Parts: sequence; structure tokens; C-alpha cells
Amino acid sequence: MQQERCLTRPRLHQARFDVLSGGRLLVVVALVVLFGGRKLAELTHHPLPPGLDRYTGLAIWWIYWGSVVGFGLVVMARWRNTYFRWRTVSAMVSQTLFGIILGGPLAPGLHVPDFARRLHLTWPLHLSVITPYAREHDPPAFVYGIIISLIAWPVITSFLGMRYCSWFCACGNLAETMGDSYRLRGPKGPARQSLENTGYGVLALAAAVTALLWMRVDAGFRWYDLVIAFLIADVIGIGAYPLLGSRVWCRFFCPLRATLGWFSRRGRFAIHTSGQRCIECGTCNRYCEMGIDIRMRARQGVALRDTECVACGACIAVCPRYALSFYPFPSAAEAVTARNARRFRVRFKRQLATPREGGG
Amino acid sequence: MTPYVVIGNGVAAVAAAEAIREQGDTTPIVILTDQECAFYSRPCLYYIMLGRIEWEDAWGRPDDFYPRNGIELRCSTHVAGIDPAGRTVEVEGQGKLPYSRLLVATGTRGRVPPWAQTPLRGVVGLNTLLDVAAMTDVMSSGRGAVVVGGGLTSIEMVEVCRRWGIPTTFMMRGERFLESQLDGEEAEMIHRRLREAGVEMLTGDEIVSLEGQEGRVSGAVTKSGREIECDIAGCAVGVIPNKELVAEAGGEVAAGIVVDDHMRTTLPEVYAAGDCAQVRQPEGTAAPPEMLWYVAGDMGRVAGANMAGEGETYRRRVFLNVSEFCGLDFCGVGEIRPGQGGVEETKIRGPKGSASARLVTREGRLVGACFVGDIRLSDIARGVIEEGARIDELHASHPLRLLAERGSP
Repeated sequence: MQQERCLTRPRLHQARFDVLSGGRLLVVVALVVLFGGRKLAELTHHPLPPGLDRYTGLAIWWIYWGSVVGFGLVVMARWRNTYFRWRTVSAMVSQTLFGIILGGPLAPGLHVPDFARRLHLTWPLHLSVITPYAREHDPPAFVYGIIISLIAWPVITSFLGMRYCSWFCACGNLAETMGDSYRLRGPKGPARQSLENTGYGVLALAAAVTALLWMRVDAGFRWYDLVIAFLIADVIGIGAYPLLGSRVWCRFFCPLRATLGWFSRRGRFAIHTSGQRCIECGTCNRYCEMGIDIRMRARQGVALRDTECVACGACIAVCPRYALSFYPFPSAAEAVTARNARRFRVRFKRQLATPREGGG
Repeated sequence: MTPYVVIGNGVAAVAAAEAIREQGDTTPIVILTDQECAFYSRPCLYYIMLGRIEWEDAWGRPDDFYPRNGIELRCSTHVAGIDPAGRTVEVEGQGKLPYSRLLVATGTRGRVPPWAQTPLRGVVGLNTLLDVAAMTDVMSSGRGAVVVGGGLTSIEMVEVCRRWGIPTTFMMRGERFLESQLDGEEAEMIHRRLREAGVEMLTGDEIVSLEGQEGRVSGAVTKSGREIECDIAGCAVGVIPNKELVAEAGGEVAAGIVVDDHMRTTLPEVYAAGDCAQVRQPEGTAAPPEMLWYVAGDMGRVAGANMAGEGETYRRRVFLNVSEFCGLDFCGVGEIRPGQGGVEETKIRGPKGSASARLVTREGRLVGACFVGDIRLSDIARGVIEEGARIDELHASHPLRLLAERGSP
């Protein structure tokens, strides 16, 4: 009773420190230090001793994997919600399979072929997919990379939304598991939203760098790798979790998010709203890690088709009045002719996941 | 240019102002309100008290909403009267303010029974942001609470007290909770849930007086003679529409301010919308005010469009009310008042009393549906009611038909 009382008290995000939030901070610091230290050594031409180099490299893999799996279990316990459960399972599986077994520290020992190691890479998040080097070195992987980056994910996205970002992507997996408790800290409001198109700038940059590579100019790639991939994605992207929320990189910079967002917006995917149910309480906006103004659409009863929505499902799960859904609310005519209850049954399968609060 | 004047700053007022601007009308708008701050959502006060959101989340519009839309917001302003002949409103301390069109969106105020008219600390409501402050203040030192009322606000206060770990007594004058929407069995499900959660239920009783100690409530005496120890007395015994301004100016009022389907009152160039208004039906009788958030928003939009000169008609949507009591979801759709004449009711009980559904039909047509515990079919029911379909004409595998066939009339 005492515990529940403590957990539900208003303004409970203030100075609370427990094992989980401490662990979270530790992971953030460790990843930033490891990424930064290794890069610094590389840049200053003072290579780390072979042993240290190997172990720091391994540490990054295992810390990353461990926090996705460990905090993933925390997320599943905290949000007792079907969608969250499957999404988190997907994050754990893809992180284990692609991050550890196929593309990570276990790959050499298991003699994983080069092709399989690069299965999960997607342009323009991973520029190495579409390069002249890739074409010469491993043509099947090159063709596969083009198909997965330019056809498969866009098609999947236009039907199911940006599941790539919430179910599959390594950055997203970390954001949705370890970073779940930081989701409230995403910057909100129109001023911040107006900055979101920077992702398209990075996309243009990524395209330019790729074009340069095909012209056999490597300097662009090296700078992109340093500034965008290392400084913004790794250092700021993870380091800013406790300050700006877990999706800073995805929201403002990720070129793949920008690409897929374009398809998500124009595809069938939407978060449907019911104006009759909405009470404008703002819980959805509060829990949206991408800072989308969901409440505005909900009160107007129009579907949300934002390029930023990564289909994390938090707004749907927290809405106290079931005003949001991945499935369209049936119109009068549809409700009468609905031959198949299945289509509607999914909607209210307990989204009553009330996330337990606290543990900033 | 003589401005449009809006009295009130709730959802109806803001929706009206937005609708006026949407029509491209740039006439200045003056909002006069006794509220101390910008527009915020009222139903979310409960969630603030639960700690699900912070009060900053309650602001319903961006910070620059008023200046950007050319709206002058005058907070903490009291309107003393309306002069429909001179087209002015009398503002306390500020003299007369002329208007070209006036919207009365004054909403409601909580009913204050005699026992609650006391200077003692610990008597709380849950209607305004100030109430949240007052409630938070007494909650942290609360050792026992009595909540009086039979409606949604009262159960929200019970839930808040319970979640704060305060032993709570839930007292209502009637026989059961939410009498206007739930029947006996459905209310009993909720009563049982509350009892299991440790809430003491007292039905058919009311507080006669409060006792105090050192300026704080220390106990309550009930009509049946019981004495309850408590230092928090929650009061949510209904609301009264603020219709006096229009009534004193000579406009027609009933339970609320009577308006036509263009939201016009009987006074020239005076409109009313929101919880304080009730729409006159074609038959001449006025429908009782539906005090729901979306209804106020709808009314405000129609009023605003008409003030800006667009002839828009208010169309009442099928009643829909969603809530959650003590972990039990509730959704009422359409006409679900128990004991209404000329209808047939089909009741379906879920396993172990965890869910129930009640389908209300008139001459075979679905007119209402009340779901407790499992509200998954509520939107299908809303659609069927909107369409006016007969249940036996639905497809054999239609979920509502399957549900109806499971129940006994």
C-alpha cells in the first residue's frame, strides 16, 4: 500500500533514484565513454593496445545487447500490453540475432558468412550498404541491400507504419527498452516540431556522400562518419537520453526515419482517433517520445498520419478513454455490415496498460 | 469594430473562438472569464490527481493561442449582467463592454450542499485546477476520507483517495452509483470492486453536518445517525448550469439556457453553448443538458460558426461516455437510462461477473448499449445505433448479434 501510494503521487518524477534508473544512467555513460574513447584513439592516431581495443569493442556489443534485453523485460513488466509485449520481444530477438549472433561478437566464432552479417543493414542509416566497394566485394549482398532499403522497408512501412524504428532498428530498440523511462523528456511544442525536418537535410547529405563514393571520393564519407554517425548518432543520440528523451537522433537527424516517414505518412498506416472519446487530457502528448501533438488530432477526430510516428503504441496504451487505435473506428455503415468481429476485436484488447511511473 | 464577446473560457468558448477564426472572420474576440488562467481540460484533473500527468499537460492549447488568434483573454473577470437592448455586458469594475454578438459559455458550478458550506479545511471538490491544488494540499496529510455523490466526479475522487492510500467511505443518497446510466447489476459490479479495494460503501445516506477540530474537518454525521471519522470530505453532488445571466436579461431558461439548433438564445445576438445550454427539440421540449466534453465542443463549434454568419445546425451525436472505475472499464452508448419505457433490454453477463453488457432495443432497433468490464464492442454499437439498424437484420456473424443471442431478454 505504501509503495502504491508513493508511486501514484503527483509530481513523482522528481529526484527519485533507484537501481533501475541508476543502471540506465550507467549504461548511457558507459556507451558514450566507450564509443568516444575508441573514436578518440582512432582520430589521434594513438591506437589502443590490441587487448583493450578488443575488449572495449566487445563491451559495447554486450552492454548494448544486455540493456535491450534487460530493460526490455522491465518494459514488458511495466506496460502490460499486448502490443508492447510483441514489440519488445521483436526488439530483443532482432538485437540478439543481428546484433550479437549474425553481426556481432559471436559471428567470427560461428563462422557466419559475410552476407548474413550484413542482413540488417539499411541505407541510408548504414551508408556502407550501397557503395561501389559493396558491389565489387559481395554482389548478392549489394542487391539484397538495395532491395531491403529501397523497396522492402518502404512497402512494409506504408502498410504497418514505421515498425522498423520501434520493432527492429538497433537505435530504436535501445530507445524503446533502456530509454523507455526517458520518453517523457522528449521536447514538446510547435517550436521543437518545426526543427524535425532536419532529418531530410541529413538524408540529402547521406545521398550526396553516397554519390561521392560512387565518384570514388572518400573524404565525404569520412566526415559523415565522424560528424553524423559518431558525434550525433552515438554520442549525442545516446548521451542526451536523460536530457532530451530517447529519440533525439531518430526524431531530428535520422535519414532513414525521414525516408520511411515519407512513406508512413502516405501509406495506409495511421493512428485513428475518436473525437467523441477524447477529453483533451494530454496523456498521449506526454507519453509521445517523438513530440507529436496527438491531442489536437484526437479532439478533432481525425487520423494521425505524421511522418514522425514510429508506431511505438504508447499513446494508444495510455489513453484513459480509448480514443486512439491502430484500427479505424467503424463508421455507422461499417459497424452494421461488419461480418467479421476479428477486425474490431483487437482494438480494445486491454490497452489498459497503465505504466507504473517513476524511476526517471 | 465592435468585438464578439464570449463569457467563459471552457471548451465551448475556445471551440467557438476557433470556429469563428476558421470562417475567416477577423472581428476581435474578447473572452471574459472568472477562471484565473488560460483554457485547460477539466476531465483531466482526475488524471493529474492520480499522477498520470502533470498539470502542465492540462493546457489545451499552445501558449500563444490567444494572441495569435486575436483573442483578448480577461481572466478573473466577473460579468454582472447583460443588456440585450444596448448590446453591452456589464463587467464588474470595468464598466460596460459593447458586443456585436455575445456567446454565453459559462458552464456549470458544483452544487454545494449546506453541510459543505463550512470554513473548515478538508472539504474538497474536483472541478477546477484550484480544486486540484486544494485537494493535493489535504491529501498528503489525509487519514480518512468521505466522498459524497453518485456520479462520475465522486467515483474519481474515491479513486484518488484510494490511490493515495487513504481509507475511504463512498456515500451516496441514491441506491446505487450512476443511477442515470447503470442498472442494478452493473452498479453492483462496481460496488463490489470498490468494496474489494477497501472502500466502504454507504448507500441511501447523506451527510448532515461536519465536525471540525483546529480548523480541519474531523468527522461527519450522517442522516442515519452514523458518525464517521474523516479529515477529508469530498463533495460531488451534481452541478448547476450557470444560466442566471441570461435569465436575468429575460432570456428563456429551463434546466439550462434554452437554445435553438443554431445555438441562439431567445435574446437577439446572444448565443449559448456548452454545459450551460440545452437544445430545444423540434417537438418543443428542450433536451436535458448532456454534460460531456465532446458535446460542449460540438456546441461551441456550431455557435462560433453561426456567430461568424455561417448557418450551421447542431446535430446531436449518439451519446457516448467512456470511463474506468476501479479498473473496470465502462462505456455507455445511446439511450441507456434504466427503467425508461417502451424499450426491451437484453442483458449479457461475462464470466465471474467480470463483464456485462446491456443492449437496449426499441421495436427491434438498437437504441442503447451499456458495457461494463469489456467495452470492445462499444464503437460497433455506436455505429449500429447511428444507422438505426435492427439487431435481427445484422449478419449472422455480426458481433453484436452474437452478443444479443447469448443474452436473455
